[in-house]
Amino acid sequence: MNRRQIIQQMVLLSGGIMLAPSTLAAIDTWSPDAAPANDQTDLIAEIADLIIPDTDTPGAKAAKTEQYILLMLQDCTPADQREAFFKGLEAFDQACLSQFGRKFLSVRLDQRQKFLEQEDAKGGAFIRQMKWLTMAGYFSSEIGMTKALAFLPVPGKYVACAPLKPGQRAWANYF
Amino acid sequence: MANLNLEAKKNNTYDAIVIGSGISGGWAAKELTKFKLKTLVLERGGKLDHIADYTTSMTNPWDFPHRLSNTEAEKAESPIQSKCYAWNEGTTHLFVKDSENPYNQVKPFDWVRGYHVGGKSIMWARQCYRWSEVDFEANAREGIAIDWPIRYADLAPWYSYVERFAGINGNKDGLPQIPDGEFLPPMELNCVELHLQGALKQKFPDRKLIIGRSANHTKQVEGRGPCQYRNLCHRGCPFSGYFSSNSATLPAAANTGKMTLATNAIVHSIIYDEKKGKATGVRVVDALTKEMTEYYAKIIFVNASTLGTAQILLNSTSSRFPNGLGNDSDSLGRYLMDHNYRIRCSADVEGFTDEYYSGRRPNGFYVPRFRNYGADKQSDFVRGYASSGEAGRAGWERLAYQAGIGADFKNLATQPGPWNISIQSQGEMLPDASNRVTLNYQKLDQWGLPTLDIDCEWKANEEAMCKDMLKTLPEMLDSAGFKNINAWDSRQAPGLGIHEMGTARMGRDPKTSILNGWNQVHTVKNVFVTDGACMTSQACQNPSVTYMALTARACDYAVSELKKRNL
Repeated sequence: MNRRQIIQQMVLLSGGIMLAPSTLAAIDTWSPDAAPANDQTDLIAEIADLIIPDTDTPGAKAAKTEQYILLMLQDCTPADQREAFFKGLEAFDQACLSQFGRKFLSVRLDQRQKFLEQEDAKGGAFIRQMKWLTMAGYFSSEIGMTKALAFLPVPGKYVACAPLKPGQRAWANYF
Repeated sequence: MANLNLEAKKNNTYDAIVIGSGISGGWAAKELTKFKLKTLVLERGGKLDHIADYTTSMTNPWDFPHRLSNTEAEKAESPIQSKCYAWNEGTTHLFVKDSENPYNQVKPFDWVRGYHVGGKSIMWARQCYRWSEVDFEANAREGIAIDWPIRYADLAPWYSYVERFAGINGNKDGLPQIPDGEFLPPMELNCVELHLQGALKQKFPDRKLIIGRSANHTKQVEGRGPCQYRNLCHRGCPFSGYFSSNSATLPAAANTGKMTLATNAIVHSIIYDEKKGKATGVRVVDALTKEMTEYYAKIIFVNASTLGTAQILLNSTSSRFPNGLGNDSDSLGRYLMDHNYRIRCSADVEGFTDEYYSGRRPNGFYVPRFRNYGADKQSDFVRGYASSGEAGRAGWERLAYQAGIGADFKNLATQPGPWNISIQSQGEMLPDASNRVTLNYQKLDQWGLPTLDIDCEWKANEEAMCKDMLKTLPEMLDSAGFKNINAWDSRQAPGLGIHEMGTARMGRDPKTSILNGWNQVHTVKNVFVTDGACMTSQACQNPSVTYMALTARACDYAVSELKKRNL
C-alpha cells in the first residue's frame, strides 16, 4: 500500500477526517529530551505560515500551529521520529544557508518561498511530516475549523444530497 | 452476634441480582424492576451518570490538548484498547487501561472493554439488525456445533418489544435475511451511495444496498433525542440521541424505585447452595477497598459481557460444579466467536462534484448477507457476511502529501475534495470447541481474581470467507464505475470486532450446553445468562438488539417461574 492509499483509508475509516495520525507518522522525526530552542519554534512557525498563509482567513501563525506541532512532537510522536524531525529541520536550515548564504529566517520572503517550494517539490521526509503537522494543526484549530472550514457543531439534521453552492467551504469534520 | 449477621444478610438480600449494567444488564434491570422485583445491579466500574458525566461530549475539537490524538504514553498504557476505532482523546476515559486489567493471549486476541455504568452501550456502534430464521437453523442444517433451542418465531415479538423502547431507525426493506422491525424513520443514503445501490441492483440483484439501521433516535422516543447528527456518539450523548443503558434502561429501572445500583462491585463468583441445588447469591470484591461482601437473591442474571460472564461462571466452583457453574458439559468457556472484520475496500469516485451533504450521519449503508443465501451456494465456506460502508467527500488530508504551499494550496484545502467510498465486511465465525477461554490461577489480577487465558483464532471457514470478500467487495465498487479500487486484509486478530459471543451456549441438552432455551442454566435454574456468552452461533448481524430481545424474553420467563415458585 502506498502512502496515498494509507491516507485515503485513514480518512475514509475515520468518517472523513484524520487528525494528526500518529500511526501514520510513518514519516520520520529525533532527540527525546532536547527542548526546542526559540529559533526552532520561530523556524517551524515561519515554515507553517508559508504553507498556510493569511488569506481572506487567518493563517497558520495566527492559529499558533507551531505550538500544536511542538506538542504533538513531544507527546504523540515516537522518539525516533521526533529526532528525525528535528534533524530534518536543522538540515533544512543548513541547506538554505548553503543556497542563499543565510539561514531561513534571515533570507528575504521571496527567497524563503522559493526555497520552501523547492524543498516541497523534492518531497523529502522532513517536509512531508512538516506539511502534515501544519495542516493537521491548522485545520483542527479554532481558526482553521471555524474560519477556513465550515464548522457545524450541532447540525440538528442530516441532508443527504444537497447541491454544492459556489464557493462553499468543506465541512470541518471530526469524530 | 447471630442477630447482627441475620440483619446484615437481610440488608444484602434482594429479589434479583443483575451482574453488569451494559446493554443486556440494563435491559435485565429494566424488565425485572418493571415486575416489581427488588433488584441489585452490580457494576464493576465506576458511576457514569447520563449527560452529567459525559465530560467530553460538548468539547470542541481544538479544546482537546492533542486535538483528539492520543499520547505515546496513553498508547503504551493501553496497547489493546488503542486499536479500537472509537478510542481517541475524547473517549479514552471510557475504555479500560490495559495495564490495570490484564489477560493472557494464548493466541492474539484484542479484548476491548469499558468498565463503568453502561459498559460498552456508551461507545457502541449502534447498528441493529434482527436475526432471521436461517440464522437459528444454520447449525442444525449444516451439522455444526449444536442446534439452537429457539427459532426466530420465539424471538420475533421480543424484537418488536425492545425495538419500540430502544428507538431504532431503519427502512422497511422487506429483506427476509434481516426482518423488518418497529422502526423510527430511516436515515438517508447520499447521492453516491444511491448510485452504488442502483448499480448493484443492475449487476448483482441479490446484493441489496440499504441505509443502515441504528439505535440513533431519528425522532423522539420515550422522551429521548432526537439525534442531532453530530456523530460524536462515542463520547456519550447530551441530547440522549441514541440508546444506551445510561440514557434509557437504567433510568427506567431507577424510576420504579426498585433498583439499587452498586458501582465498583466486581463479582468474584456465584454462590451455589449444594442442599438447595441452586444459587443463593454472589460474592463481590469492592474494586477500591478489595473487601469481599456477599449479596443474596432469588434469581441471578449474569450480564457481565461475554468474557466477563465466562470468567465469573468458571470461577464459581463448588463440589457439585468443580469446573464452573452449570458446567457438566465442559462447554463452558468454549465456542468463543467474534465477527471477522478483516476485509476492507475503498475507491475513488469520479463526478458528483456538484453534490454535497450537511450534518454528520452516525450511520452508513449496509449490504445484508447474500452468500449461501437464497439461490447462492458457495463450495468453499458456509454462512455469510454483511458489508457496511460510507461515501463522502475527501477533506484537506487528501493534499497533505501532495506538492503545494501558499494561498492557492490553502484555498484548495478548504474546498470539498473528490468523493470516495469505503466498505467493510463483517463475517460470521463458526463456533469451534478449541476457541476457548480458561482461568489462569497463576496470574491473578489486583483483586486477587484469576485472569483469563484466551485461546482463539480464525479457522479455515473464516479464511475462505475472507478470500471471497476480497473478490466481492471490489466487484461491487467496480459495478458502480468507481476507480482506484483497493481491497486489503488487515489480518486483525479476533476480538477487535468487539462482538465476542459464545462460552456459555444455549442448547437443548445439558450434556452439550450450559443454558436452555430460556437462557436459564440447565442445572442451576435460578441463574440466567443473557449477554453474548449465550450465543450458540453467531450470524453476521451486529448482535446487540438480539441480546436485548433475549434478555427481555428471559426476564419475562424468570418472573413467571418465580411466581409459580419454580425457582
